[in-house]
Amino acid sequence: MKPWPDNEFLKGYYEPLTFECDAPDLVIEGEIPTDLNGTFYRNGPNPQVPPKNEYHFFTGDGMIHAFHFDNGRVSHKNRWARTERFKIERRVGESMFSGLNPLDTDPKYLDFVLTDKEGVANTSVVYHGDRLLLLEEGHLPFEMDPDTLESHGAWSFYGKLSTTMSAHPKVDPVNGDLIFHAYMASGPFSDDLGLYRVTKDGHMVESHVFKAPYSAMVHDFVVTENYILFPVMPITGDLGRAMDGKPPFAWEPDRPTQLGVMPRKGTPDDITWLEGDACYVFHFMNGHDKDGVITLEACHFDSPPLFPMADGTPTPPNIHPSLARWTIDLNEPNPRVKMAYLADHGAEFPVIDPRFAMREYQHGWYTSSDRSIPAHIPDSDVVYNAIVHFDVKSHKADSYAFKQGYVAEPMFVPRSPGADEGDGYVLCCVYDIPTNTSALCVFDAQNISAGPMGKAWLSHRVPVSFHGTWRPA
Amino acid sequence: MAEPMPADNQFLNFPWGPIQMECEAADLVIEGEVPADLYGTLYRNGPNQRFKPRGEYHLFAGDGMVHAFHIEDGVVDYRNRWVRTAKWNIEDKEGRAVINAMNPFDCEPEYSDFVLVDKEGLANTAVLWHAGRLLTIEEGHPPYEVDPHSLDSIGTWTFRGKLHTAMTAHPKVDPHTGEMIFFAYMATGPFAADVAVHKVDPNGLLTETIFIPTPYSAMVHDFVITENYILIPVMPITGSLDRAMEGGPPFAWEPDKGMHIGVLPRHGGTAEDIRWVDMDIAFTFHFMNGFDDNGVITVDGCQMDHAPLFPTPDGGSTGPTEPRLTRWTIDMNDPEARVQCQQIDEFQSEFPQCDPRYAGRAYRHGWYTSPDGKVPSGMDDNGNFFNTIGHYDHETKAEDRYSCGQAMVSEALFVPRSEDSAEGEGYLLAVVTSLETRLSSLYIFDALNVSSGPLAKAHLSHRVPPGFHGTWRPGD
Repeated sequence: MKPWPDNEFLKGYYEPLTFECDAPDLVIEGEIPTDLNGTFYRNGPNPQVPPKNEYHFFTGDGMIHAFHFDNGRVSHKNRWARTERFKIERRVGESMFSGLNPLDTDPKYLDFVLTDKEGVANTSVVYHGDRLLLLEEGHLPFEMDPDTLESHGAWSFYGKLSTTMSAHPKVDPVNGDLIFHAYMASGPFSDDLGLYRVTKDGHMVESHVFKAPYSAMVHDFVVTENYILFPVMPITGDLGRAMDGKPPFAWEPDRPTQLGVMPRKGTPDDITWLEGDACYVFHFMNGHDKDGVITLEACHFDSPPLFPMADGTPTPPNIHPSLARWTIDLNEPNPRVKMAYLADHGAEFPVIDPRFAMREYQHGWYTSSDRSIPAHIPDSDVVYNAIVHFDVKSHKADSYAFKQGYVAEPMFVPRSPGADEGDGYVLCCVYDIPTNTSALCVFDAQNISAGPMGKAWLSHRVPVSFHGTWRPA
Repeated sequence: MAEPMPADNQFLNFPWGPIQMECEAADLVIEGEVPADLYGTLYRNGPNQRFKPRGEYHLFAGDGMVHAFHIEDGVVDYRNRWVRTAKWNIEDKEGRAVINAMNPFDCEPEYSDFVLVDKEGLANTAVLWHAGRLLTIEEGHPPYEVDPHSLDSIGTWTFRGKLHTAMTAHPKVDPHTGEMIFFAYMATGPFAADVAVHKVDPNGLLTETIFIPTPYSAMVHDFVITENYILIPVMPITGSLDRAMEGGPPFAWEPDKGMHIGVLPRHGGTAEDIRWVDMDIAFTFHFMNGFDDNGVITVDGCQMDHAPLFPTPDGGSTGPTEPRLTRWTIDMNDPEARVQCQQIDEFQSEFPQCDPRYAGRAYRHGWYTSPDGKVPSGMDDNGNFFNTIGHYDHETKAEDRYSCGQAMVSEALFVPRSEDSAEGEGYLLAVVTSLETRLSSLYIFDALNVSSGPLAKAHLSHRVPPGFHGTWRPGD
C-alpha cells in the first residue's frame, strides 16, 4: 500500500502498526507482582490504510492490545477490530472513507457510511456481562473474543440498542450495573441524547432517548449514587455547516455549557439543565453526591484542543487541561456549577479505584507532563510523559516522569478485592522514544514517584491509544 | 517470567537482539514500485533467542526464526514464526532457558542428556526451498521442515529416514539437473573427524551418501560444487571434546592444523577418490561460486586472514579480520597442486551470492554485503556494520555499490527476472534495518544497477534481526 501521508498523527509514537502479533513472554525488567493476574486491554486508532483525506486520529481503525498477566509472566497480543469498514478497505486495499465527514466518502460507499453500525471501534473497551466491547461513541459497541481477540461484530444487547454508545460507560460497583449514554442518538448531528442501563449479566433494562439543548459531542458523563449528569458543552455538530464545506464538528464558545442533572431514580423528564460558561471536559475522574450536593472532578479545558472553530480556523494552540472540581448544590433555588482548579499541572485520562466509582473517594490517577519533552503535534507543545497520583482530599500529588517516554492512560487494579481504596497497582503502557518500542509499566499505586516496580518490554511499539479496561483472572 | 537479556552481549541487544513476537502483516507500505514480474516468497532465517540464555551466549546459539516476505502483483505480505524445535517447546513450557545449545555440560540437570540426543537443534542458520519442502537448516542437526505458507513447524526432515547426519546450512542445487548436494561435518558424531556428502535428486529422494575422513575434526560451514567436483574446505576451526571437558572452548581457531581442501570427483567419486589440496592459512565462511574447466577449478569466496567469532584454544580473541573476495585456483592436472589465492576485489564482502542458474558453472555476476565504514559497530571482530550492497562483475570489475546509510543490511538474494532472462538480469532482495527508527524494510534492487538504489522499499512497523541466510520460492 501507499506510504502514510505527511501528518504528525501518523509519525513516531502515532505511526500505525501494520501487523498483528502474539508475543508469548515479554522481557521483564524489575518485577511484576505475582498477585496481579488478569488482562489489560488497550484500544486506540491504528489506520489500516493511508487515509483518503486529512487524517484525524479519532478516525483510525481500532486496534486492541491485550497484556495478559499470569503469575509474573506477561504476554501481549494485538488485533484490529475487523469492522465492516475494515473489511471493505482490506478488500479494496485503500481508504474509501473520510474520517470525520461522512459526506466526503467514496460515492460507492455513501450508503454504507450512513447505515454502518460498526464504525471504527477505536476509542475504548469495556469488559462487562462476559463480553469484551470496543466502544467508539459514533456507533454500536463492537464485540471481540476476550482471549483470542477474534472479532464478533456489532453488539446491540439482543437488538435493544439502536443508537450509538459512548466510550465512557460507568459500572456501579455496588450492583454491577453498566450505565452509559449516547449523543446524537437518533442519527448523525441530531440534537438528542440516549441513556441506558444494563444489568451485570448483560441485559438492557432501561433505555431513553431525549432532547439535548443543542447537537453536541458529549464524550463523557458522570454518574453518582443518586444522579446522572449530562455535560453538554459546545463542540457542536452541524449537518448544514458540513454541507457548506465547513467543519462538521466545531468549537462554538458563544454557546453556554448546559449540564443536565437527572435523578437516577427518575427519567429524562426530570432533568434540570444548569447553564454555565463554555468550557470543555473530555474526561471526568469521578463524582459523588451527599445531601443534595454533587461533587465531581474533571480534567477541565477552558477551550478544547483537536477541534476547529465553526469557520474552520484553528482554536488556540497548546491547550492543557487541569484537574478541577465542580460543585453543584441542588438545595439552592437556582443551582449552578461552581468550578475550582485543584492543581495547576496538566491532567488528562483520569482513572480511579473502580470499587469507589460514583461514591465518595480519595484516590485518582492521571497522565501529565513535566514539560521536558517537546511535542510535534498541533495541539500540544509537550509530550505527556508523567503519571500522577492525586489525593482529592488532601490535594497532594505524587508523580513520576519518564525521561524519554510517552505515557498512555493509566489503569488502577486493586491488590485484592478487599484491599483498601487505592491499595494496588497502576498499569501504564509507555512508549520509549529512543528504542521506538513500548513497555507495560507497573507501579505501586500509592508510591508512583518510586517509578515502575516492573516493566514488561515489547520488541515493538504500541502506538497512541485512548482507553483501556482490566479483566481480572 | 522472562528475564532481561544480558546487557553486555551485543548479540542480544539492538540491533542484533531478538524480537519477542510472531506476527502477520498484510500489504506492507511500499515506497517506490515493486516490479510486477517479481512473484514468489523470500524466506530468511536467523537466531532469535527466546529467553535469556544460560551461560555464555554465542550468536550461533539463538532459537531459529523464519521471516517470510510474499511478493505478488506489487504487493508484499510478511509473516514470522519461531521454529518449534524440541528445545523451543521445552523452554516454552518452562518459561525460561534450561538448555545451553552450545554446551551440553551447561543444561538444567533434567535436560543434561538433551543436547547429546537432540535431533532438531536450533534451526537458525539458513532455509532452503527444494523439492516442494521448506527446510530450515542449522548444520549441527538434520533439517527442520516448516510449512511454506503458514510457517507452522512440521518437524525434522530426514529424507524418509535416510539422513543420519546433520546437514550443512549451505546446500547447493545444480541448476541444470535440479540435484541438491549437501554435506555434514563431524558426520559420525560430535567432534568426529569426518564429513558426509549427500546427494538428493530433484524429487527430494536422498540417493547417495559418502562418508569421508578429514585430516582433523573441523567445523566446515560452506562448501563448493562445480560441474565435475565437490570441494570440502577443511579450515582450522577445530572441535575438541577433550578441550571442552577441560573447560576450554569446544570450538577454537587452531591455525597450526593447516588448511586442507578436499576435492572429490562429483560423478562416481568415493571416499577413496578424495584428494586433499593444501593452501596457506585463511578462513572463508561463504563462497560465491565455483566452476571447473579442463581440470582447473576456480572458486570465489569471502576470505579472511583467520576465523572471526571463534576463540583461540585458550579462550582468547583471534582479533579483527576483514573478508574480501578472493579467487582460488586449483589445477588438478598438477599432482603437487596447492590452492593459489588472489584477492580480486578491494572492498570488504560477506554473504556472497550468484545467479543460481549459474551455480557451479562459469559465471559473471556476483553480489555481497559490505560496510561503507561510516557505521561503527563497536564490535571486536569487525569495526563497522555492513550497510552496503555490492554487485561484482567478474568481466568489467566496474564498481556498483549502494550504501543504505545508518543501517544494517542482510544477505542480499538474487532472483532472476524470468527463467530465461540473461545472467544477472533480475532483482536483489535484502532486509535493511534502520539504526535510527529501529525498523526494518525489504529493499528490492535492480541486480545489475545496484548503485541507483532500491526500486522499492517495503516497510515493516517492527524490526527484523539481521539473521543469516535466505531462500526464494518462485510463485506457483
